[in-house]
Amino acid sequence: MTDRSGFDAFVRARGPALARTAYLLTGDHHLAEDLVQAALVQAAKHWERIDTSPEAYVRRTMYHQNISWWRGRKLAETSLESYDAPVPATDPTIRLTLEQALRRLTPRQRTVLVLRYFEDLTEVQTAAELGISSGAVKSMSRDALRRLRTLAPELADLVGADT
Amino acid sequence: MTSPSHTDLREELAALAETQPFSPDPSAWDLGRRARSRTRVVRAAATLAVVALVVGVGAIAVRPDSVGPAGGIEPDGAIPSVITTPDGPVITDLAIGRASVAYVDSDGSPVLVDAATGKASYVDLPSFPEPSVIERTADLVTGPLLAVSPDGRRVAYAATVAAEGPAGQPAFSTPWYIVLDLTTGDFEFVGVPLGTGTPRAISWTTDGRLAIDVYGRQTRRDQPPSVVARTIDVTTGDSAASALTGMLAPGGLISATYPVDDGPVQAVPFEIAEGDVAGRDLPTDLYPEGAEVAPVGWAADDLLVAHVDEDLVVLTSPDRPAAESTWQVLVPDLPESSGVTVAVDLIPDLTGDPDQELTHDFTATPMGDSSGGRALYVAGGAVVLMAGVVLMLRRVRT
Repeated sequence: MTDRSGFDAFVRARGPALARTAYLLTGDHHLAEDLVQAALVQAAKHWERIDTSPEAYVRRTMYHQNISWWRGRKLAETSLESYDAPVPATDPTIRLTLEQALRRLTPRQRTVLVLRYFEDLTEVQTAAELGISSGAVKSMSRDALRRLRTLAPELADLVGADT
Repeated sequence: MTSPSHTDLREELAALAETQPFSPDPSAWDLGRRARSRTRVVRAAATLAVVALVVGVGAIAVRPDSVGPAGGIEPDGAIPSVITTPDGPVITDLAIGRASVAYVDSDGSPVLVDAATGKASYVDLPSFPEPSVIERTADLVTGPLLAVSPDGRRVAYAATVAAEGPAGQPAFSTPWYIVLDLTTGDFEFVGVPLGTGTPRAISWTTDGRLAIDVYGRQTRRDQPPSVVARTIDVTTGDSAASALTGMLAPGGLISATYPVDDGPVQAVPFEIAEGDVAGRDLPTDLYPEGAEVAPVGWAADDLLVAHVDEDLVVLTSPDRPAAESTWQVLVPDLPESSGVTVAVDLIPDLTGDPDQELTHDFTATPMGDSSGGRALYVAGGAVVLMAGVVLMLRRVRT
C-alpha cells in the first residue's frame, strides 16, 4: 500500500469519527471541518515520520490546534444558534442545553471534558495528550463541570450536582 | 459534590457528536505534501544560514572583547526574536528575575517570558482572574490584562472576580490591583481608585505608575458612560485623573489609544494633549486593507511598540516629521493572546541602521554566555566541517 493510498484509506475509515470529536471540541460545525482538515494536512506532511498510529497523531494535533484557535472560536461562540438541525434525541432540551453550555466553556475546559467523558481517557492519559499535569486536568475538569452546572442547572443529573 | 454520571454524559456527548455531518476528504494529502516540499526548501536555506552563523560566531571568537549578545543588547535580558507558547510546567515560584514579555493566552492563562532565557512559561499568579471571569469581561476589556513594567521586574493586573448582578445575572467586580515583584516573588495589593470599577485596560507609565482606562459616570441612560483614564502610584495607592486615555507616552503629552472594536484600521490611533486624536498611517504596501492595531508600550518618547495584526512593530508617533518616521517589525508571528505587553526598557535605542538587532535569538546563543571561549570551539568545529566538505568534494571528483 502506498503512502497515498494508506492515507486515503485512513481518512475514509476514521474521518467521520474524527469529525465528531472535532465538533465536540469546537462546538461549531464549520470550525470542526477546518480543525479536521488542518490536522489531516499536518498528518500528510509528516506521514512517513508518524511513529504512533495516524489516528492518535491526528487527534493530538486536533486537541492542540483547537486550544490555539481562539479568535475563530470566540466568534463562533457568539453565534449559539448558528446550527439548527440536531438529530432526534430522547431529551432534545437537555441536549440543546448541553450543546450551548459546552460552547461557553473555554477551549481547554471543553477539550478536557471531551477527552475525559467522550474519549474515556483517564486523567493521566488526558494529561499526556495535552502535555499538562494530571492535577491540571483534574482542576480543569472540575471547573468545567462546575461551570456547566452554573450555566445550566438542569444538567445537574448529567454532570453531577453540588451537595 | 458528586461525580458526573460517565455513562449518561458520554451518551449525551456521543449523540451531540452525531450531529456533525461532515466527512473529511483525502484532499488534505496534496496540501500536506506541498507544505512538506516547501518545508524542505526552507530547511535547506536554514542549513546554509546555520553554516553562515557558525562562521559568524567564529568571527566573534577572534574579537578581543565580547560585546553583549545580539550586538550589545541589554546584558541582563532581551526581547526574544520569537515569542513562543509555553511548553513546561506552571511556574509557582514567581521570583524569576525579569520578564521580557507578558501575555494572557487564548485560554485565559497568564504567561511570562523570562528575559534571560527567552523561555515562555505559564505562571500561577495570585488572585489572577479565572478564565471564566476573563471571558465574562471580554466585552469590557480593550487592552492588556497583564502588564509587565518597562524594566521587566514587575507585573500588574486587576484581581477581577465573578459576582452576581442586581437581577442575578452574571457580573464581575474588581476589589484591587495586584503588583507582583518578579525579583522577590512578593506581591502587594493596590486599592482601586474611588468611583472606578473593573479596568478596560491596564499599563505602566515609564515612571512606574499604573495607567488605567475605566468607565466614568453614566450621564445618559441611552448611552454608555464615557471612558476616563487615571494613574495610580503603586507605592502609596494615590490616584490622579489623566487627561489622556490609552497608553501614555513618557511625559504624558501623547497616548496610544486602545482599539474600540476588533476590526482593521488604516492608521494607528493616538490622543494628544489638547484632546485631539491623531493617526499614524499604516504602510499601505504592507497592509492594503488595514490591520488590527493595539498599543503595547513606549520604547522612547516618540517610539511606540504596537501589536499590528500578528506582529510586534516599532513605529514613530505622529508628532514626528514624516521624514523621520520608522516602521520596523520587532517580533513576527505572536502567539494568540488577549493582549501582550513587553518590557520596553529591553529594546535598544534605535540607531537608524535597518540591520540593527532589537531582539535576541535565544535558540542560537543563550543570553549571558561569554561568546569568547565557546565560540572558539564553534569556530574550530566550523573549520573541521569545512575541511570535511572539501574532502567530500575531492572524493566526488575522483
